[in-house]
Amino acid sequence: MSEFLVVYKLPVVVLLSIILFVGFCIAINYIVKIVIIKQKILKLLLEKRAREIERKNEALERNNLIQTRLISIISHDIISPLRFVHIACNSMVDDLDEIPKDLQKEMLSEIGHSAKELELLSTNIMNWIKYQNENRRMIKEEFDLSQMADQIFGVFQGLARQKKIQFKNEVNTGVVLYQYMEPVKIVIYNLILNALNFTEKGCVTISGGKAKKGILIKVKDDGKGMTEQQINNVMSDYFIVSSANVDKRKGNGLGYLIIKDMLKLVNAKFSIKSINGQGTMVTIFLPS
Amino acid sequence: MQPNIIIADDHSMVRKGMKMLLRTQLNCKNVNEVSSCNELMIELRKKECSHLILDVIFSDGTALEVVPTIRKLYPAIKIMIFSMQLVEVYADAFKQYNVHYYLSKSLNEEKSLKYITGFLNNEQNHSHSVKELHQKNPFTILAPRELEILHYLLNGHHTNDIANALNLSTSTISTVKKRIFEKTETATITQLLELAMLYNISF
Repeated sequence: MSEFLVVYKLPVVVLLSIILFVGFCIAINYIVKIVIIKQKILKLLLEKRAREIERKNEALERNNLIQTRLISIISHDIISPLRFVHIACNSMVDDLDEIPKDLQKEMLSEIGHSAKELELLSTNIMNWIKYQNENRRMIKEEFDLSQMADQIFGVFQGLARQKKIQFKNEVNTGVVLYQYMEPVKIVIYNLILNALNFTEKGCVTISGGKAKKGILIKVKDDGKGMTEQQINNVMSDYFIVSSANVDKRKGNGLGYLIIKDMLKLVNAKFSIKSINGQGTMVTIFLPS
Repeated sequence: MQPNIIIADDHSMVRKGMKMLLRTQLNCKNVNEVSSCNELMIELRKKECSHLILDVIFSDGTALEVVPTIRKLYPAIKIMIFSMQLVEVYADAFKQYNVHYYLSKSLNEEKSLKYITGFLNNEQNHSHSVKELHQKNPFTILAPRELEILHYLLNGHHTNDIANALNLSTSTISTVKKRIFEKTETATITQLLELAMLYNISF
């Protein structure tokens, strides 16, 4: 027995250690694999998080820029006209008798005009702020597009009459939308406001009808038109600031900013077609 | 002698209010209005002008771009800057173009009228410029050209666009841009915008 042990001791020990070693290697291999897999999972998670944070950061940065823009609009387009409404009124009250009739009329019509512009601008700023809250609760409802167009035209009737611009409502009768009503209304409001602002004479036309998978709305004007660069600017995601200048009218860029935000809410798409000097047509597709 | 006044401002309410003040309070009869840099240059070519009341920011450029041209073509015209922009930031820049009158739109009526009267009477003494409480402003140290380009930067224009708009080379714009960042101790447009908002630079 002891001989057997003596003879076989060495190989047995060697064999045992080989087995142990191989087992050890397999175990290590296994552990390493698990660690690698875990690491990969962690890395993926981390990347996902990083992307999320980056996206949120971008949104925050964009909001920041928009806020800066809004402050500038409020200071330039609201506060300073209001100051001069006040100054003009004061000086009219003080020396009404000495002011010739034509100047009086000029001033009054300007004050009225300013009041309307301020109303429209404030409405829009309010519209934009209202829909910035991501947790807002909204309910879809049914509404008639043609009626909505009439209602919005009503808001701008005074301005249109002054500029001798005609409104045409060519929406097919019976086009009923099931949508979040206010965002759609805000979009059309802004499209008509833009059309009105950049048109000197002619018509602003809204048309709409059913398409294959949704509803198409078109707002067309006979205005100055937009250059390709202006269109690209407007369509770009990073567009936050003033659209290039069209003669006397200075776009503050707020209109399209709001339009794009609202269209995102209702999952709609839009496109702009324009011939310089002959007008612009904006088409919106609302999927049903 | 009645002064021939041009008011250049992109808000019609501001122009009309100013015209009203000039006509009723200061009895100036010849007051014309223009709403953009382009219109201003056309008007100057057409009509004689003795006094120009000029806003800083227009839809088609800034006063900083047109003032040197006006100075060259019509050296006799008296110019007064009339703007919401802060005196402490812009007034020095305009002094370099020999424009010494700078009236803030936020100044009260009485003081404004006095200031305008001094301007219309061609009083040489600019020292009665209005003393007001000023905040220390990091944009004060910018040179005229830098303020000019700052306006376009804040409006989100790219170097190429600015070069085209101002008829300058892109390398000039890049250099000035770098200097603006250095002077205001900012690194990105976003930071620059934030700083501008904080210090009431409108654009």
